[in-house]
Amino acid sequence: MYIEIPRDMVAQPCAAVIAEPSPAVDGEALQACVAEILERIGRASAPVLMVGVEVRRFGLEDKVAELSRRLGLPVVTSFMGRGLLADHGAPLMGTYMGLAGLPEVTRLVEDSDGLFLLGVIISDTNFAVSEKHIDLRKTIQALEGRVTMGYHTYPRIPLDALVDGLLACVPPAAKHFEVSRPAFPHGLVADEATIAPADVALAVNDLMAEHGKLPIASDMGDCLFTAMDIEHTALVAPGYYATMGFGVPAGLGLQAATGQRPLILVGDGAFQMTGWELGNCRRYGWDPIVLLFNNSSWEMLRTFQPESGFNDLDDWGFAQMAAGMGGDGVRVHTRAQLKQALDRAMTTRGRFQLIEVMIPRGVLSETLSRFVAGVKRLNAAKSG
Amino acid sequence: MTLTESLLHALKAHGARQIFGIPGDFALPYFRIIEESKILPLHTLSHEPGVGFAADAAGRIGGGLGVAAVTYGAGALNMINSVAAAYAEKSPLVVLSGGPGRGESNSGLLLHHQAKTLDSQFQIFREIRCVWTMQRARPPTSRASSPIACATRSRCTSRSRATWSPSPAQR
Repeated sequence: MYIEIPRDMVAQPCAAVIAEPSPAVDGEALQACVAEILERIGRASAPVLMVGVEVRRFGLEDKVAELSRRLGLPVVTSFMGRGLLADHGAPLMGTYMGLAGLPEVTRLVEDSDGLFLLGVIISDTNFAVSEKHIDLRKTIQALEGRVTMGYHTYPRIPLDALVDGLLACVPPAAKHFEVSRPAFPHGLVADEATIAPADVALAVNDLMAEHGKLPIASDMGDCLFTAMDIEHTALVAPGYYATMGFGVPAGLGLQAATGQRPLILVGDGAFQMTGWELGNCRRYGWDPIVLLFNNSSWEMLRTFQPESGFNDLDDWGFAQMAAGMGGDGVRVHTRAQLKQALDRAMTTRGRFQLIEVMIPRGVLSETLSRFVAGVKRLNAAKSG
Repeated sequence: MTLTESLLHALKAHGARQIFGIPGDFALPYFRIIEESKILPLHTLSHEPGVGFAADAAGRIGGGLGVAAVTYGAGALNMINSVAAAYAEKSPLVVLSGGPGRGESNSGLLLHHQAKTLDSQFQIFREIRCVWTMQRARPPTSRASSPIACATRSRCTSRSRATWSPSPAQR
């Protein structure tokens, strides 16, 4: 919402804002919609629930987790919805990323004959990299206050009313439904080898196993794909709109709003844009841990267009700038240094901790490698 | 209660926990009220893109409501990309912008920070403003929602601008 305040009106007398009642939901339409969804899910031999950002937007994570247990539905998140249901005891299989994702999750979604998309943005970053074409007309989509399935739409079915309606019709399961959750890699080898993005994921998983989970704010780029190899934890990232520059200020927003210390994942390109906001941490007592992936490169662009020299960035030496901005900075080149720096950052409170992780150009996370290969293959197929 | 205080109370009642912002001369008067009323803490950052991203993240996490406070033109237009991201990704974000006073709007002079017309900023934001998602919020997350939408709709005056006006009884 956008509100413009003329500067000569700011102190005018004004009554309190009046609460507007929520529009009523048509109970009969809701019942029909719920019955049809349950019928379709019941008929499917391999139904799957995919959750997206609207589930968090409307505060439904607990209820959706309960619904998935009652229905016995394995749950995946969309790429954009990563981090949803992380701590809600849902039968969570992982994140659907098509060609870029774990093969078992991709198969689960693409072979499903009853795919229920709950609050999932139907975007290219969520769906365009499918291994197999997903016929969206065959799915159940609840999004933007309406539900579409088959070839018809129920308008004006708010997501929370839909979830409540489904819960009211599905009794608690007699048997606890569980899935074998994918294991995230642990156990960084702290040696003298150079650091790959996968090592950062290992180091963070080790850290969270020892000290508990941290919420993550990630920027766009290979840092976000690396986050896909990190344990499920609360995550904010521009996974659909894909803007750079989000990570550092979003991390500050996380800490201000929740009081929890965040982990920020950001590349050097994005850090050049908005990394300077870290200079505001000292005034407000924020102390995020920042993992700055520095390959002196717009590496994701390079993967799409390797021949272009403009993707080479200079090495700014960010770690050295941290002290003047009120934090602590350290540059790490080896896996041993990475582990040591993370351990020290974790136990140092009250100042932002900038770990500048030097990554050789061309060394990508596995997810990004699969993603790029998949997109290239799709583009080649389209043009050919 | 002043117009700005009424607005701040409504934002707080709807889940806002703090305001991120950068003032400018058109925004100084309402920033003064934000600071002195202490209804919501104010965190100033360095550049408006960061203000928008920080407020977006605060709104995304834990059922909150993000508030980004900026000045007219040079401030608000700096934040277009962040607001577009929040809109596209359905993050509940309220943008507060200072604006020219009614008197100076009719002075016949071009005003600083004016892009084309005095309404240019409103026209630009109209494409990406978050009112769409706000209208659809329901309890229990109606915290991100309707009274503010109601207020802007029903109390809107001065052409089509999403300005905030005093209640009719107190005019």
